Formats: sequence, structure tokens, C-alpha cells
Amino acid sequence: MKEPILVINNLSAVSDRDRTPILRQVSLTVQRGETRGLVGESGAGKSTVGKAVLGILPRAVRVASGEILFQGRSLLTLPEPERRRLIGERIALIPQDPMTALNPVRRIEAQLTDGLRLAGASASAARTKALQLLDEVRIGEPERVLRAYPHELSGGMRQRVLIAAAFALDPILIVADEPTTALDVTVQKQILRLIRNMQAAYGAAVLFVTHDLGVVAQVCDSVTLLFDGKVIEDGAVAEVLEAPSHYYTRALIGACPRSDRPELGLRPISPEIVARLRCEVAAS
Amino acid sequence: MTDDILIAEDLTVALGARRGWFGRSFEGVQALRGVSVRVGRGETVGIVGESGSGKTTLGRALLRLTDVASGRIVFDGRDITWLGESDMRPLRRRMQLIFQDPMASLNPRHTVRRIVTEPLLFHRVASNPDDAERRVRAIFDRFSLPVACLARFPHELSGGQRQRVGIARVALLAPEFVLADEIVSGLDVSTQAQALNLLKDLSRDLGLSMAFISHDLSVVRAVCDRVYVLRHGLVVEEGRCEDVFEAPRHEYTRALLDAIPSPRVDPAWLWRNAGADRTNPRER
Repeated sequence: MKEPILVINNLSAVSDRDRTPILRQVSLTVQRGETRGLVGESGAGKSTVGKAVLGILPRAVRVASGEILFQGRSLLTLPEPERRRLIGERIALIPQDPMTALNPVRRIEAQLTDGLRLAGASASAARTKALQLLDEVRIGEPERVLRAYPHELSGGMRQRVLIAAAFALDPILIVADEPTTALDVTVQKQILRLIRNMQAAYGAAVLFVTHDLGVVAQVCDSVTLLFDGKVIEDGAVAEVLEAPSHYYTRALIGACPRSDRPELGLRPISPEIVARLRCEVAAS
Repeated sequence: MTDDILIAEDLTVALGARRGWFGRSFEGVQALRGVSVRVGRGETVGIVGESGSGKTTLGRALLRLTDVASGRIVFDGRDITWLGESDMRPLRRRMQLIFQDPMASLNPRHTVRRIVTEPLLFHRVASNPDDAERRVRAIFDRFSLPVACLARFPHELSGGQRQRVGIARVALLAPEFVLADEIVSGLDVSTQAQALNLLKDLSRDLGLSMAFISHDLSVVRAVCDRVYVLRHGLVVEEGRCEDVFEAPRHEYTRALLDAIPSPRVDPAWLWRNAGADRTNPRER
């Protein structure tokens, strides 16, 4: 049964300085329980979409038109206090860099219970919940981790803590912004599996921002491919990756180094393809 | 064997070791615990491992940028393990390093022209500035870098262009051995493939020997002839790329290979080979 959690309609954004288009009529939907990959190369606008949903766009970026509906409520027109409350309690972020996302001078306990305390939980209830979350993200000795400072934990452990924090308030939508880019491959796999498990347990929808088509293939149900702020292709992961309809999608898949198919060699995207697509996008 | 340009035998490196006051000493962290590698002439050797495996320390030791505690390094038939800086100087041109982050390794206050011509004049590869300029223009042409880039500063270039400038700077010196340390990890797949192909062409045309450090096994597979797999400062597996990738003998190599997400949908991938799913804070 489909229930759209996040619906983005024709979202356009421009740079405040010179009005350069950053997003061009981007539309996408994330259903309940679905993981939608949002992919593109650097500068394609994938992180901008995630930030627009969370209401944390940089000052230099202005939404020009379009709407973002979260469970039917328009995030862009909601009064500020209400919007902040809704986003704070129902939408969570799993950030890219576990090194910078945690405050280095506060213990894990303080950082993990912030959201719970703001939502009205007592100190002891928040602590109990924090311990339960650390257990759910499969951290051994949760008591010890609560007392630790971020620098005492490895990168993978920090990312687990951030995932625990994201699920603290039982969110309906998770925005995961390159959550495994900074991690080793073996740790990445554990974290991807963890996100998948947590999502299933909590029934959350996930908007998964990544540049890695391999990650998309393994964890996403559907995918939206961006280039220069425009949606190039959109559909179920199996369809888009196995039978891409757009030439840019084909080129991008071809450029991925394949350890399972070394005979394919390395096939960079030719400058002609990029130039052609840039013109098409600018003209549209 | 004179077939090898670089031979390292049984290297150990301790980081942070010191002989303190009144016999208070600290034996340091054993970053390398007896590592032997060799690089044949014209060969590209991959050095892979996850963070903390010692791969970067190994690279620095090979170039004599880090002192070893024990072991032997032979470059072109000459033992360089304990050569002083002034004796190393003439060898520096012949053994070059391409850095991971061109933004950090290219001086932000120098123009690209100064960045690429200065080493040519310093090492007396070019006899005068005109000669240097001629050589630079030739290689820029070959690397599809616009000549206009020469007058720019590093931050004005795209990431792919910056990385190509970094490679051009090294290639101009016509070294015999190049160490490439994670040189494509920050790049998009399309630019990554381009930079790797460039490097492959160079090593073929100049008969360059190369040590290619990476955490990304699919990239190593695409460019290397042989590979060393490092873990906790030890080589756990070595061999020709085909052999190691087709039939890995060590459990750790298998885990690394299996952790690479391929851009082909494989519903079983995420749940295969769990590894240690519960992490313990004492394991760092």
C-alpha cells in the first residue's frame, strides 16, 4: 500500500548572487518504507534537495518555485515555529562526516539525549532511550559509549551513534546525506545494513543522497538521477541500472570501475556527452 | 634482481616513538611490522588496505619521507635506507609523489604556471624558463588542460583539472618511480576514470614504475599489475591482480572484495558475510 511521505513538486532553486539555476523543476516522491536514492556527480544538486527538505539551505540559495509536501503539509509555506517543530520531530538527518557532526567537547550521552529532552522526555527516560538506541545500532557496552567523547570512538562507531540519534524521535523520514562516504568499505557495508534494518524496524522512509551507484544498487528501492540540478532519470533501481533509458545514465554506469568485470576497463564520460547534456539542460 | 626499481625488505616503522628524559621512552605505534614489497621496472603495484592498515606509512617510508626502525630500502640497486637528505636530493627527482588532495598539495597562492614550472627549473630538467614553458604547454595539451589554466590559481580549477595538474607536475620531471597515494578518492567517477586512464598511458609511454595506494579495490583492479593487501601493518596477501581478485586466499581479502557494492542489483549482497556486526568500543 502506497502512502507518499515526501512529495517534491517542480522545485527550483537559484543562487542568490547571480541567479544561476541550482535546481531545475525537481520532482520526486518517497513512499512510506521506501528508500529513494538521490544520485549525481558533484554539483548536481543532490545535497541541495536534501537541505531544502530539512530547511537548512545555505543563505546563498533561494527557492524560486515549487513545493515540498511532507505528509501532505507544505514545508515551504508553514509558519517558521511549526515548521521547525515538524522537521525536528519527524524528519531526521544522517550526516556525511561523523568526525564533524558530533560536538567534540560534549559526551555522547548529552548529544544523544538532546532531541529527546527537547521533545519533553525526563533525564532518566532520555538516558534509558539512549541506551536502547545504542543497543539497536549494535554498539557493545552502551554505558561506556554514553560516557565517551567523540574522539574516543572510531569512525564507524561515530556513524552508529549518529544513526542512533537520527532514530531517537521515531522519525517518519530520514535524509541520509552520503552517510558512508567517509568510511572503509567493510564498515560501509555494516552501516548500510544497519540503516536498512533500522528503517525496517521503524517503518521510516529514506531519502538516500549518494554519488555511489554501487550503494544505490544495493540499498535503494528507487532512484532519481540529477545532473546540473535537473532530474535526468527516475524509476525503480533495477530498471534504471539494468536498462537505463538516458544516455547520461548509461555513461555514468559505464564509468564506474568494476572489480567484478575488469575486462570492461575504464570508460570515462566523454567531454562531448557532458557538453551536450549541459546544453540540453540549460535550454530546457 | 636488477629488474626491480624499488625493493623494500622487512620494513618496520614505529610512529611517535621517542627516547625520553631519564630513560622514559615510548616505543610508539607499530605502523609497519615487517613489510616487504618490490616494484618492477614499468610495473604498477597496488597497495590496498583500510584506514590504519599502514598503507600511507609504507608509501612514505618507500620515498624516505618517514624513517624506518629496521629493514632495507633499495632504489635502482642502491641502498637508500639511511641516506642523508643531501644524498637523497639527487634521487628526489627520480622518485616522485602524487598527492591525495590536490587542493592541499598545490600552493593556493601560486599560479598553476609557477606550480608546474618551478620543479622543472629546480631539478634542472629545463634549461631556462622558455624551455620549461614549452614542456609545460606540451603536457597540458596532452592532458586536455586548457593553456588558460596556467595563469589561474588552483582554486579556480575544477577538481578533475586540479588532479591533472598534480599529475602533470610529476610527469614533467620524467621520474622513474611514482607513488600515487589515494589520488582519485575525492573525484567523481567520470573524472576518476579520466585521471586513471591518463596515469595508465603515462606509465606505458614513459615506462614508469608506480606504487598505487588505494582503499578502493575496484580502482586497483583497473590500473595495477600486482597488488599487496595490507592489514594492521602486515602484508596479508600479495600476487598478480587477476589471481588475487579471482581467487583471494586470505579471509581479509575476501571480506574486502565482498564489501565493494557493484552497480548491479543483488538483493543478497547486503546480508552476505555479516562480519562483526556488533562493534565494541574497546576495538579501535
